[in-house]
Amino acid sequence: MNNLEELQSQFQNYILKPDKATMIPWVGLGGRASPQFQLSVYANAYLSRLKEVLMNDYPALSVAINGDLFARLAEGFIHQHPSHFFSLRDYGSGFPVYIHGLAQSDPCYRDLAWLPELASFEWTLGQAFDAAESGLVTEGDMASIAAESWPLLRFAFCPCVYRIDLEWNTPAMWKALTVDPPLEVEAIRSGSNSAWLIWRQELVTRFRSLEQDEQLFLDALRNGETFSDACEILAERIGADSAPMRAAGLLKGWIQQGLITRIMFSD
Amino acid sequence: MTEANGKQRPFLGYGLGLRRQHYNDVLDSRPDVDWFEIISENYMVDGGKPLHYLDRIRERYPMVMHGVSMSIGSTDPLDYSYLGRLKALIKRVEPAWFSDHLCWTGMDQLNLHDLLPLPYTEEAIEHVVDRVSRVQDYLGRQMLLENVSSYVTYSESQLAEWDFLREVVERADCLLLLDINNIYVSAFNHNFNPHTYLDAVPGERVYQIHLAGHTQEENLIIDTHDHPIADPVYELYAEAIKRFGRVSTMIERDDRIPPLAELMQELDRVRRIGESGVLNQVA
Ligand SMILES: [Fe+2]
Repeated sequence: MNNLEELQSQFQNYILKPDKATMIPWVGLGGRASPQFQLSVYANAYLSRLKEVLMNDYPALSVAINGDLFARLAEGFIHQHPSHFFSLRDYGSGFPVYIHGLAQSDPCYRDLAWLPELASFEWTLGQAFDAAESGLVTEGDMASIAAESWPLLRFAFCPCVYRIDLEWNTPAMWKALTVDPPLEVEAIRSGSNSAWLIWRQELVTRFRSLEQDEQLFLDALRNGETFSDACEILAERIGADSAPMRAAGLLKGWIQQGLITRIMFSD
Repeated sequence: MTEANGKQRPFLGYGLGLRRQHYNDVLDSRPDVDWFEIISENYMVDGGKPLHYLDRIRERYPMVMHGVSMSIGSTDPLDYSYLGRLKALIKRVEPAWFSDHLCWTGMDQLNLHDLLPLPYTEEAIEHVVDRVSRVQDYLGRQMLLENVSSYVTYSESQLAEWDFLREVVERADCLLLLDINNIYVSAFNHNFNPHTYLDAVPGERVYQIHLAGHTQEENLIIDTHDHPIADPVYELYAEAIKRFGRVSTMIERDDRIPPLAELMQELDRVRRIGESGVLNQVA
């Protein structure tokens, strides 16, 4: 190891685990402040910078629990997860999984079973916010498709489209917690999972719940099923008579909401 | 004022760091800012608002790009996936130039997201010079390196910071983004005379100047960018202009961001100093 590498390794170890540092002979005595103080500036800045990133990425979560608890969560995450990312934008990506793990194992979080879901929801909103743009299919494009092509059509969805399943009233909580000032809100667990869609329409991030038949049809098409196979799945739920009309209505709605980027013809 | 190779040094005027809080204001009020600097990493995303505003503001204003993650001084290998994204953004923005810091930001594939100083040694000079040359080859253009503020000194340093800086930029044949506030901060923290620093800077390579506010603590100044520019930093800026002539200058504000109009007033003061330096030189 050359000198520069050794110096960087020592400095990085100090920043990541400041309390473990003992000897710091590599820090000069020339500065106005003591070597210990000089170094602590970097360690403190590291922690506070990453905490602020998590606070900005998880605004509802940071309001939902008290500040001390949020700080403890954030610091725990930061200690376990140094950044491998060139951009701070991605730093908080592992936070929901970290919180999920804690909620399973740590009794302090027994009453906060909704916390991991709120974290995932907020992270997904952020993903939709700056997902890639792509050209959108219009109603005109759909109208020009010959009837015999329809059964084998496949559809591509915008990279900004996310489908999540929620057990709690997370979207309502998120709304209440992110208004200024935040509103009181109670976490309520619904009996079963409900399906939600998160996407960006032009520049606005949106979310809405999905009816069960819409969810089945959407999931099938997003999995790459053909239009006729997806219609069959829909027909099992709502009956063969209603399925074609419902399918057409759903597609039209998705196009208006900017979800579909491409129609793929089979050959 | 001429560049190292004899070309006229471009002068963009007086600019601001582009911040998302000001996106709409910039587009609606078309402020009299000569140019904007963007933080490159903020626009290395796939789509959405950041790129939408970037493109629209770029249509109306000259831009330069400023990165924080190149880690030119790190002992890790250069990150070509990062450089690839940087290259793509340069193609999109067509900036007047791009810059990053003379520092390291982490090793072992980690990013500490901080601008950590290098030891002022021959070993570090050779290491950085080689990497700057490779980056400039890969991107097909010269880069600007910025001096960082520092709170720590290393016992192994053999040179003064200004000698280290000059050696790096001359040997790598790159350009300089001189941060006047960082010089002021480091001069206080490490007890040196900031004029000595300015005297040693190869003026013909200074393409851009940063000005910013800081936080004064008892025996340390921290480069927080959350205050207006302090008076002694304006004075040091005037000294720099006296030595180097007119240089494209901008204000960096990253925290407690005030309304655009307030920054415009601050920029007026910068402009007066920047231009008076030129009058003095002519007279
Ligand atoms: Fe700067």
